[in-house]
Amino acid sequence: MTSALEPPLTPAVFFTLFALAGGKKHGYAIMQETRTLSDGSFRMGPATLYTTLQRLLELDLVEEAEDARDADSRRRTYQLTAAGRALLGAELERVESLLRKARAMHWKPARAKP
Amino acid sequence: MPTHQHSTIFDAGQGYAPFSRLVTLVDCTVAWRQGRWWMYLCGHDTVSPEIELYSASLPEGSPLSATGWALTPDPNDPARPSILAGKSRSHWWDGRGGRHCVSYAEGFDPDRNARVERLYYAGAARHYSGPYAIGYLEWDGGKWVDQAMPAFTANEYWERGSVYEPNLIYHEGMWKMWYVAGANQDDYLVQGYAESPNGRTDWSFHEIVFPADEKVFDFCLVEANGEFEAVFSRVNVSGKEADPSRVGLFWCHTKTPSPRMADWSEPVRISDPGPWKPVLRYGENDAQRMLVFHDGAYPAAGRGRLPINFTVECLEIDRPAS
Repeated sequence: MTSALEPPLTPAVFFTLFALAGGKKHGYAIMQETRTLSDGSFRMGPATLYTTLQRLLELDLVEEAEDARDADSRRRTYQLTAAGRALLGAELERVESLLRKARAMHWKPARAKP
Repeated sequence: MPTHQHSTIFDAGQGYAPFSRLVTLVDCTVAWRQGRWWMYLCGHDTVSPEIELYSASLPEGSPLSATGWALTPDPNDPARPSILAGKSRSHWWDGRGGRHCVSYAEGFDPDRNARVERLYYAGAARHYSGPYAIGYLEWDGGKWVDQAMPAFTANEYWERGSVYEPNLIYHEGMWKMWYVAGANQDDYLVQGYAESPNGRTDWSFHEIVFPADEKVFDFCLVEANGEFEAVFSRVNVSGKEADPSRVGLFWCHTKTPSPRMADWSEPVRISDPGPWKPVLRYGENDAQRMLVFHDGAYPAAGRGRLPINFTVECLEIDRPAS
């Protein structure tokens, strides 16, 4: 049984979709991109990545790229579907809406003490 | 502290004769199955560096408090205990890093419309120190079978990419799991909770039960005495804990097995610092006498194959007054 996804997304789902927004990638590249996009704050191991990818594949939010397995590589590459792009857009819109409200309140995050 | 009796079941410093290739055993879980008490443990031998799951049992008719736990031998190699299950399906997520911190649970799988027995564990894809995901072996009626996908993975920032030390019960139609997120080597241990209708998918929101500064490492529940009881360990991984009374094994109880500690009694400390990975069980004859199986360690000082000798021990202790 797999439930549909809607915002707010878990960090694992969000960063997998976000990493693929810049183009198709294989698993290791998604993990690397996640680290970059999260400024190193979100760690994702292979088990988290591939269970997340499997769920996103089942929900048609990502798909294997047509040239998924070239002759020299056993690695699969993945890309967003239109539905995946829409879900990512909805999540980013949700976050943007919150940020707009925070800015309107002139809210500034407290800095953690060193 | 209540009166107690302590025994060592497996000790790397004493060896595991006749299993001469076995290096260490830790992290047990204990279950009554098929007319006898079984213990499932993690360990490794000189042949394979990967952490594997093994089993031991007491003879039929022996009470849980008995001595004489015997490892199940490999039918093809008398110097090795039998490995519980191969990795033909699970190797991609538990292959090179092995299988750790095993926990037995029995419950109902609505997708299969059947009661199932599972050994949950933390699997690591690449290295024994993690990151880990939680999965299980399932009993198919004749053997334990590995699974192609882990059941539960780190999904939240606070989990820092790794979940391990699962402890599950099946209660009111849900598989309820307490687990650790983080990493020993980072001295960052958060006790988490999630539940699922089938113990495999559709997990609830991951909740924090104990924050990192509590350093709660395991939370083992059992249904007993008409309610639920738990023993958990507070550990001192970094060696920086100033107050030794905060470290050791703790017991608490509740009518409802909830992730909110406000629903539990005030924890009572039942051991000195040192033990971890507790498994709470009651024997056959005395509902007021707890048996707490747990890990221990002591410096090898030339004995054993590692600098530290790991042990599997049992603390037999009166149930604290509540």
